[in-house]
Amino acid sequence: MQTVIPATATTPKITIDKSRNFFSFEGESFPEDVKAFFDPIMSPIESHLRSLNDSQVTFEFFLTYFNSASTKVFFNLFTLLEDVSEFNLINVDWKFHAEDDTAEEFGREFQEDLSNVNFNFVAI
Amino acid sequence: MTLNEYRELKGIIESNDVIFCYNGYLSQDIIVAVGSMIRGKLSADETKMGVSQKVLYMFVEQAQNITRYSPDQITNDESERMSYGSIAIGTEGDKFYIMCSNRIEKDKVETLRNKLETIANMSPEELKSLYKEKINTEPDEGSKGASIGFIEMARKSTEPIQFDFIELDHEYDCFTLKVMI
Repeated sequence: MQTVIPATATTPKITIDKSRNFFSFEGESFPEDVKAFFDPIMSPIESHLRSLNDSQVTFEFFLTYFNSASTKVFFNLFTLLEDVSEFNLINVDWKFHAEDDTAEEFGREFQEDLSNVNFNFVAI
Repeated sequence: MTLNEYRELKGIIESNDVIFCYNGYLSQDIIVAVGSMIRGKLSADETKMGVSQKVLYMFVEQAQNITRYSPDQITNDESERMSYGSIAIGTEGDKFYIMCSNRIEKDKVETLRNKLETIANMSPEELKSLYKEKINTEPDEGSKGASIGFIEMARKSTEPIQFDFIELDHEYDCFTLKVMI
């Protein structure tokens, strides 16, 4: 079953497909209350990921803009991915516009703290 | 305000190569609309995407600081929070400046001043390790974000951040911040 949360002016389009272990975040992220928006989305993702064993999981990010509070949300997600990568194969595709060095740099800094997650950079 | 005074104000703004200047109640809807205007304007000027993304970043961080922390808040009919403050974006030579100003309660000044003084004097490496430390821990008490907004602004600013606190009355100071891209 695939759930798609449509994008708004301040939040990204989010795709959650637990059967295929595919998740994506696409668009901009600067909601006024980051916790109120992301907590209900992230906590079922966390429970699902923690229940997995020997699975292949793919996360796709194509974030054209996000604020500092959202950075923290994604950082926490990557920490979780590193955690569950002990038992699963975790792939992250970090997409960015080829000229957008800011988005690329954010990806590089997330990657620095990960050792077991396959982190791929995809310039669009 | 007289016609002359308003024209003088407009003249001061325009002589500082301002792209955008706002003084009034800011809401999330206004931030979205202005963000779209900034993108459009910088793209029409063929500004490099990496630069325009940073200008947008600074604008949203500063504007959301006002909506979150300005003491002058009201709620509109759609229960959207609106907070009073001021933001300007303009150019100085080949650089962009993004600055904001709002009232701040006196009892919050010392903490913010210490935080900004520390950040303003840090090297890029020190800022990066502070960023990594903050992102790994719970936000500061009273923070409605992630406590990394000022650090990120300082890291992206091409010159040291400038700020001051000017006394307004016994209850409030005026806080002003300027960053450059």
